[in-house]
Amino acid sequence: MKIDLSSVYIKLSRKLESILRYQAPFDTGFLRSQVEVTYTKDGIEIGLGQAGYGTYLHTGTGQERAGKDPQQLMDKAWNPKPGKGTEGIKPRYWMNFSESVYEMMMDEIATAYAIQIEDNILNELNKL
Amino acid sequence: MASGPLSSFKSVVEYMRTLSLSHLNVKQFTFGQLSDLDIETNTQNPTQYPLVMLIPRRADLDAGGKAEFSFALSVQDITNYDLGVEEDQLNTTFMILQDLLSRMRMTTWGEVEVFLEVPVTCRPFVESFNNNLAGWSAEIVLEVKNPFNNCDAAFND
Repeated sequence: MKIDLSSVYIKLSRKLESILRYQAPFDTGFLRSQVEVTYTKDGIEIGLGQAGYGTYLHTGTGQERAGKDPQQLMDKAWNPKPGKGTEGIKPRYWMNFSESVYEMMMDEIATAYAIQIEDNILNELNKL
Repeated sequence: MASGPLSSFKSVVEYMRTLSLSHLNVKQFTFGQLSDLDIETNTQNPTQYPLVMLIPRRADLDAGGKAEFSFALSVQDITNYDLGVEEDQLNTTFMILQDLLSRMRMTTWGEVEVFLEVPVTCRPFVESFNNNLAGWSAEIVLEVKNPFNNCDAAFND
């Protein structure tokens, strides 16, 4: 039985991209235009193209910078209005997704998985 | 941008393609029908969003050396369950549409021989098609020079 969920992952990468475009800090719109989420065999990757400075807006800078531990960074919730920092830029964590996004992803994957299993079983039965 | 006079259907589509892809926020341009949009099975070249789609509607040949091509020009993004994201997408896609229409309208006849008829009616759509797309669709009419021409017509006699 073969299960191929690549189409679901591609669809999810597009959805995640649109969420990140929404969460990206907006001034000229350049950062939004550069956000790209792609699905490869290694997983789903977030790219910022020529707007690498987006990382600093995510983690903050200087004294305001969030810790370096990736797990701690990921646990923080998106903060669209962090206010002005005194010793640097305050972190916005704009590349983090909320719990509901993860739930949506799990729902879509589970649904696609169930459909493919059902299709495979029906195909096998039809061969009998 | 397009060079030379726009007269054929193909040159108009090419003009729209160049114009759309030159916009900073547009990731892909597609010409065809809505049914051609397929993110479910096309995993080799998956559609990128925001997407500009040009759907041909009709053409009107008129006396006085002009032709009018009608299209549905649609700017769309893949939507989510979240109303905040959806509202933002409708805002962004409308701004992209407005930018494209502005460029067509404000371009002088000397630069590109195309004329956009106004007013343009734009309609929003949400959670449409199999990909749950949201965006705006505008019915546009583009006027180009295209005279009835018996001399260059492809006949033997």
